[in-house]
Amino acid sequence: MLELEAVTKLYGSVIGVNDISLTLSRGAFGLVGPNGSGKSTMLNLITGQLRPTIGRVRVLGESPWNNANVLRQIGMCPEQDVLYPNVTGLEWVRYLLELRGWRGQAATVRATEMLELVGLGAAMQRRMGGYSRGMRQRAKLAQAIAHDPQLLILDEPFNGLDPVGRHAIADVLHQWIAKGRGLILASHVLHEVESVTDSFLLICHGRLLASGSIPEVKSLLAEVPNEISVRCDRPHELACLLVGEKTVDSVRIDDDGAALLLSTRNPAVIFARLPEWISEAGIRVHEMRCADDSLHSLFHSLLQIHRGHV
Amino acid sequence: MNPRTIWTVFRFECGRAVTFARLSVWVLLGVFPATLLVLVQNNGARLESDGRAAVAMFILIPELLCCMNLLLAAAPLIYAELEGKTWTYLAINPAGKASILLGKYCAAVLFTVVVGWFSLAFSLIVAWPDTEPLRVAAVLAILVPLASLVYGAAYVFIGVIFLRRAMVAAVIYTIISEVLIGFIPALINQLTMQFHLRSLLAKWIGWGLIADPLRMNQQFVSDAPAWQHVVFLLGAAIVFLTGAITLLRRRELTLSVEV
Repeated sequence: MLELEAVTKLYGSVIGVNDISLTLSRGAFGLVGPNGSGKSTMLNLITGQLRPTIGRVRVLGESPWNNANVLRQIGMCPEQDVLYPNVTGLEWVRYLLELRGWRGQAATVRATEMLELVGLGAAMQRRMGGYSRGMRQRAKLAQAIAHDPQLLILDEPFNGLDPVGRHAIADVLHQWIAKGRGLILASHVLHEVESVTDSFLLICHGRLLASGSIPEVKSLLAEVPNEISVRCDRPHELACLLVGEKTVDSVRIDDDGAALLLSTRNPAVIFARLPEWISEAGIRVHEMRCADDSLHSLFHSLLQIHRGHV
Repeated sequence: MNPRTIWTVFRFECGRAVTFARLSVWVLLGVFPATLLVLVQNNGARLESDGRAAVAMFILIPELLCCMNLLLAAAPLIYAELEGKTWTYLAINPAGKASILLGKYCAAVLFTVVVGWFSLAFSLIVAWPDTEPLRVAAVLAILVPLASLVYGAAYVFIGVIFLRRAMVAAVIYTIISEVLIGFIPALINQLTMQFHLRSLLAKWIGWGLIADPLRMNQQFVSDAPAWQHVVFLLGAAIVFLTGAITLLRRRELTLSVEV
C-alpha cells in the first residue's frame, strides 16, 4: 500500500522528515507523534502535495506527485477544519465528488449517503459557516470517504468531537477497516489511535521511531527498564529494602518525599515480591503505579531511547 | 485537463460568489466609472462630443474597472484557497491543478465581464455619446471581455508566482507595465496589453471619432489590422495561463508550508 525509501524532506535548512524507510501492506495504521514531529509532512508526501528532497515515495505502487491515478484512490481528511462558509455540506461534498468524475444525480445521492453515514444528515442543507467544529470534522470525513478510496488518510480526525461523536466516527472507521481498505490515522492523542487500530507508526523529530503492532514494538523494549511508582508512608525504608535486590536498577525518592520510584528490567519479579516486603516492614502503601501496556507507555519509552535517555 | 471539471469548478465558484458582500463590491465597482463621469461633467467638461466619452469610458471600464475587479478576483485565486485552508481538498483531487485554476479563472473573468457590462450600461446612461453611440457601446462591450481575459490571465500568473503578495505584485505590474511603459512613446509599449486594447478602440471606433487624447501618434496606437491585436491579446492570455499552470504543477503548496 505504501512504500517510502530513505525519504527526507527539507524545508530550506529545516528537516520535515528525516531518512524514513517504510513499507506498509494494506491495513490500518496510526501515525503517532507529538506536534511538530513531521506527521503532516509525511501525509503531504503520501498525498503528493510535497516531493521528497531525497528518496522515493510510492503509494499503491506509483509516485503520488501529480498522479491522478493515485489521487483517485486516496481520500484525505486534513487537520485544518476551515471550510467554505457560504456553501452547504451537501454542495461541498457533491462538488468534490463531481471533480472526481461523479455525475449530477449520482453525485448528489452519494454525497447525501455519506453525510448521513457520518451523522450530518439533518444539517447537510445548512451552510458550513454555521457548523460546529465537530460538524465540520464530520463533513470532512464524509468527503474523504465519499468516492470510496482504497486508502483513507485522516489527520487528527477526532479534533473538536464530543465523546459521542468520537465513538460514532470510530465506528465508521472500524467499518472502513473491516472492508479491507487502507487507513492511516495521524494523531498526537494516543488513545484516539488505540481506539481504532493497534498498529502504528511512531514518529518524532522527523524520524520514524518504531512501526508495527503494540506487541512488536514492545519487543523492542525488552531491555528498557520499567519505572514503578510506589506512594507509601515510609518510602525511605522501602527504598532500603529494594536497594539490595538484584532486579532493581535504580531507586529514588520523588521530590515531595512521599513516593518511591524504582526502575527495573524485570517488573514481574518485583511485583511478586513486593507484597512480602511491604507486609514484613509494616509499610502502608497508598498507591502503586507502573508502566502499563498502553500506547502511551510505548511512546514514552521509545522517545526516551530516541533521545538517548535510556 | 478536463473541460467537464473546469465547468464543475466554474459552476461552483459562480455559486459561492453570490454573497451580499461580493455583490455590494461589484455594484460599487460598477457605478464607480459612471460616478466619475458625472463628476467630470459637473465640472463643465463636455464628454459627449469628439469621442471623449468613448476614451473616458475606455480608460474607466476595460482598463481601470476590469483591472480593479480582477485584482480582487483573479490575483489571489490560489492564495485564497491556501489562506482559507481549503487548498488540500483541491490539491489532492485527480481533477488536477490545471482544471481547478482554469475553472476559477473563467469565473473571475465572467464576474469581471458582467460588472464591466453593467458599468458600461450605467456609464452610457450618464454620458451618452453624440456620435455613433451604439458603435461606441458595441466596441467597449467587446473590449471588456478582451481586457478581462488578458488581464485576468496576467494576474493569475502573478498570483501563482507571488502567492502571498499576489495583489501587491499585480498592482506593481499594472502601474509599471500598463501605465508607465504603456505610455512611453517607444516600441516597448507594444508589449503592453493596453497598447493593443487602445489600438483596437481606435481601429473599431474609427479615427474620426477619436479626439485629441489619442490622436494619432503611431507610438500610441497601431495601424495594424485589428485581428493582429486580438491575436496578441489572446496569445498573451494563453502564455500567461500556460505559465501559471506549469508553475502551479511544479510548486509544492500545502497549508502549512510553501516550498
